[in-house]
Amino acid sequence: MIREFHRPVTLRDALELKARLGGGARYLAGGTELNAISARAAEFTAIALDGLGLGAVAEGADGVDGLRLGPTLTLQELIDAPAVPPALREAAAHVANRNIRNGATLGGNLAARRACAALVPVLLALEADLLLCDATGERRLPLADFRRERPDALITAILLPAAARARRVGLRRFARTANGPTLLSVAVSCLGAPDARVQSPIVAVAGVAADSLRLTGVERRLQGHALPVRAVLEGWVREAVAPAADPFASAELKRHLAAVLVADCLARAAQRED
Amino acid sequence: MLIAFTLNGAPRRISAEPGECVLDLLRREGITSVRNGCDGEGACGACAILLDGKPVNSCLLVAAQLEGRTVTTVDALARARALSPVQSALIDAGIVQCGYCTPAMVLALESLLGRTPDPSRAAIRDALSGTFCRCTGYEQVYGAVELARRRRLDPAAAVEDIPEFKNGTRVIGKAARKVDGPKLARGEKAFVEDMVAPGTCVLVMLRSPHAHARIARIDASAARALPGVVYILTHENCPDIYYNQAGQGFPEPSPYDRKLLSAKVRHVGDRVAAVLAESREIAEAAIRLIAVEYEVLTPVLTADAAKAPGAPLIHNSRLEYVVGAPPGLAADNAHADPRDGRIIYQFPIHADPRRNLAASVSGGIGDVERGLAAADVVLEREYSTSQVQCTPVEPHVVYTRMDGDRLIIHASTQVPWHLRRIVARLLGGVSESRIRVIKERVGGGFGAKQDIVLEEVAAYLTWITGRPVFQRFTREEEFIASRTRHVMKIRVRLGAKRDGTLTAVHLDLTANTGPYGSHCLTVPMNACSKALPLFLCDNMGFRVETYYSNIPPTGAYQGYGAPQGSFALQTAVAELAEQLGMDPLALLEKNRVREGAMLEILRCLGEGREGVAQRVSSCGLGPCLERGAAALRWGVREESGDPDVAIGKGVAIIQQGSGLPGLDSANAEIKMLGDGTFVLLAGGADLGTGLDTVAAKMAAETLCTDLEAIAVLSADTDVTPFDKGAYASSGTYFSGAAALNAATAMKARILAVAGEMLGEAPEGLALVHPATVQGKGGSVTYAAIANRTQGGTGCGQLAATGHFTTDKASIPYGAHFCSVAVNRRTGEVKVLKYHALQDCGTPINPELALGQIYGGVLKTIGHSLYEEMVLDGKGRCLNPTLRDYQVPMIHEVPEVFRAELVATDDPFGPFGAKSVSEISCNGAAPAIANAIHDAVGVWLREWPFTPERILRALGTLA
Repeated sequence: MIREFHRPVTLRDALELKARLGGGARYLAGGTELNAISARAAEFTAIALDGLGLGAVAEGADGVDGLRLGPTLTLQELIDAPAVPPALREAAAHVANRNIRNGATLGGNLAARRACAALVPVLLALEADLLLCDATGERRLPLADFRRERPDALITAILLPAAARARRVGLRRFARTANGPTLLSVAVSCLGAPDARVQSPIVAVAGVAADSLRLTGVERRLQGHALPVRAVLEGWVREAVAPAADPFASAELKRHLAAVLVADCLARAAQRED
Repeated sequence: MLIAFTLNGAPRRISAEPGECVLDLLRREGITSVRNGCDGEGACGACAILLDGKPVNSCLLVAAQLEGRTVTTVDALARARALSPVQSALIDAGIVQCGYCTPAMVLALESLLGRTPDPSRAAIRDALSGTFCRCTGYEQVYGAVELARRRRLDPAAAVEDIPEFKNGTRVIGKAARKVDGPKLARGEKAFVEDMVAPGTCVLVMLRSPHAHARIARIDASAARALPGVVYILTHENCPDIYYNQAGQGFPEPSPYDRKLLSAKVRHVGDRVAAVLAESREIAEAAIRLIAVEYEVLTPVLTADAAKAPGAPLIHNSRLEYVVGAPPGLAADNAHADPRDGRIIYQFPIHADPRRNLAASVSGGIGDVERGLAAADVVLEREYSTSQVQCTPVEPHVVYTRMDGDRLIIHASTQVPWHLRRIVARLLGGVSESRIRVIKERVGGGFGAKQDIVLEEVAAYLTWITGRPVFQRFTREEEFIASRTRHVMKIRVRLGAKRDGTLTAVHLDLTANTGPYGSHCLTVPMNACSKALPLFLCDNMGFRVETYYSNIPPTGAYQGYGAPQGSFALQTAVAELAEQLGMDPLALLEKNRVREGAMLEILRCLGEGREGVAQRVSSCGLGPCLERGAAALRWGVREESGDPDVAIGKGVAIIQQGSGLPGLDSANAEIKMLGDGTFVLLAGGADLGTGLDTVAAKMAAETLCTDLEAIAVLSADTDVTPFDKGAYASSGTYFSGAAALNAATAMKARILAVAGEMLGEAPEGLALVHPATVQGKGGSVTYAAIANRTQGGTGCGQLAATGHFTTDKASIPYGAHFCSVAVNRRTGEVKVLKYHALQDCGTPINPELALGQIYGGVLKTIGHSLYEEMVLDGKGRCLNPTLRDYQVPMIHEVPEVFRAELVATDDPFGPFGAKSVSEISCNGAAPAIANAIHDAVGVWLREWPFTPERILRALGTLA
């Protein structure tokens, strides 16, 4: 429950507020997570981000080699932005509810503590880095490190390196209904021409652990080799994941689906002509 | 803080806490068109607004976020009561049923058409992706958008593609604007929560965290001392009156096995204390101050566990019978535990609470065992259904207040008169003349609102405190303390000759009623009575046993047991076809019921009384099957183009009833107004289904006047005559017929007066449209008749009543066909095509009848594939939210979704009508199971057909 609300108009003011208020303050973008019933028990001071002008899509801005995405871009704005890579737009559309997409933001999706955050696997597959700011300054952090460390800093940009644009990406979200909980979400990317040897693969899976993870062992086995037959790849994935059962799905189902979806995504990535 | 923003075009400065939910803020400011169906989860979209022109959920915004923004609600659209093209199109296409989500739909589509004047089907689907509609099944929205698109260019553009029925009628069987449609589309005050006066107290329930426990001690003294607390009701100060919450005709077949609050709690969410306070915050604070010590008992969660020897007893109560006490009752009661209270049976329902048996019944015709012995093939299979919830977008809600010495109940109910009767009992037997129930618009009922699950506590507290009371269930309460489908296990035995002729059919049904016996006899019986008579077989039987347990309460849900029975028997017949090497459609055709058949099995399937054999008065099953098979290209194998995905086809035949012959009764009254128009007082409770429009059409058609000349007031126990309530598919057949009979009586009165005025015998006169009596020598208008009768020398205002009862059962029939794509590797099932062909006699409101079908089908596609209440080992529901429970929304609508009305002319229904709604819920599960088998060769015998179950059936998972 928000007790105090601030709308700074400069980044500096926002950071100073956060430094002053500490853990009792939270950055608020669209509010689809922090204002939801599940989050209302916590009392906090909101530092709204909508006055900071952090909702732009820029190529090569500020000397960044690649695409710079503002954290307050809504998921719908991502979908509607032609400059945004198709895979990221596709992942944003995995949030099937347009009303939510009009409020939920890119930064909020990355900062929220959801095991199956819609955009995390695809941004892992696109080698995204984050620009983070706090009172001590700005730093650049790979997305995986951000999710692991959970720094109490403001995401000021999501950076997609130029090389990421060359990646072929296959995506798959597995859920029983479009608006229901995501059971598994997989993104696989690689470089190279279709049907050639797999180069620099990234295999990101959400739903088999507390957070999205890269299956680096599988990536190593794929690197530099021809696309393996499906059953082999599925076997590698089964070995690489150890999901826990929950009341809605057995561990066996999750392991099986992770294997199937990774295989599907790699096949899609290999065929994709984005 | 002061928030400055633009609301519906006008600048506003509103004082609000920065964290106040915008949904609450807007309702506080009188914008009642924003509504709450998910408590701020963001899952239902009923609270949608346009924020700077884009649809968002206001429940996910806080007040401070509105600063400088522009907010538009549906209230801005209707100019001087004129509807926008989107609003009028939604009504005319039949997409406005209960109307609770309509304002949200309107905004989403206004936004869509603003950015895409000619949207694709995919764009429409995306626009409505955040709007949860449980009534309509969404399909007609595509036609509505096309109509709105045309009306934006030409406001006079007419609705197209709605079929017409019944030759020679003006309004019966023809499309007409739903009488409450404009009000609902404009988002005007219509629902209970819109009526609540300032200063009303709030009722919040402290609920049990345990599935089965005794309350060893409860201390509410600290809570009572809290300023602002008005009253706290616990088992210690509640009246010692037993009742059942089922809204059924009296004497009910459901046992009186509960009090308002009991010393024993029987499910997670059972009532422990009712706290009435001057605000929700105070009530919730008071609840935290109530100290409760529980003696936790072992929970019983399945019927198998309940009937196991030595199982903990849910109701080891003293048993009493109003009539028909069995011999040995006194000795039996010696085993009762006084702490468990009493159970009062109005008549025997063959219960035995000493072994958790809530009710039982068995019967049949012919000799099943002989039939099985004579068969070439015998098949025996067991089918299971899980617990699913009705999920009306508007949860249960009530507002009670005193008017002088009378208690007024504003209710969202299907059963105003049963509600009044039950409340009168609980108030210690006050006369019904002291109680008035006003049914407001109902934001979805689906059976859950056939039961009295909160009204009686609010009414009691208003009665004893004199204070107005408002209570509204949370979405979690809707799951754990409302009503759900009975969990059932159904063993089917079939015998058949090699040529497919059925020689025996037997259903052995075990149902789990949960903690109380609401509908414990009749729902499981209905699983048999709506499944068996679909087949002509000389040897049929059934056995039903219903057990108490500690799962959340079950009860009525659209279909009322028939979906479970249909799933079991129709799937078994499809399995039999496989055994026989026959096409399942051919097997259905060979054995199905036909017009003129005598249904002897119904003799054994009365609702708590002896039944009556019925002759099938009309049956459209033949054309339903024929047209459905052609539409789906039955017998033609289709390929997906993906080696992992197989396509299969399935079919099921279905039936329901049209009310309860011999049990139900409906009444209506009609009065002529001063200008020759009419007001129709109809007892029937319109849940959004269009019953008020049915009643108006009955009168308009009979009286040869325009639909606009009939004003309908319905379901107000002070104003309108008695009606049994909206359940058992009785609306059109019973309540519609009562309106027809009232209009027919009015017609006779009009003719009599006109005869006097024209100097002719009434028998030679005729009513002609518009509102005129034509004689041989002249004519007279209704306005002139009104002037004559209501003048100082007249006979008085013309008024007439109509009553309807019957012993005839007019049975609606249907055939549902579907094709599904099954992914062999992931277990995913997608319904590609769904064709629902139904014979509802004469469809009175064709567009609304189609909407009923679409809605019923989508609900049960949900039950078949997605929905399931998941309980843990302690009886706690783990997914009591719309999102986690996984209701189907527009993305789950089949790619090709077609409802078709196959008209018959029933000799008994009003203008040949039969029921249409509940039957729509009976086809999806068996048709989909049948199609999955056709696709990948495995039978799914437990719903929902989840990927995990499919992969296990395929052997992919161990």
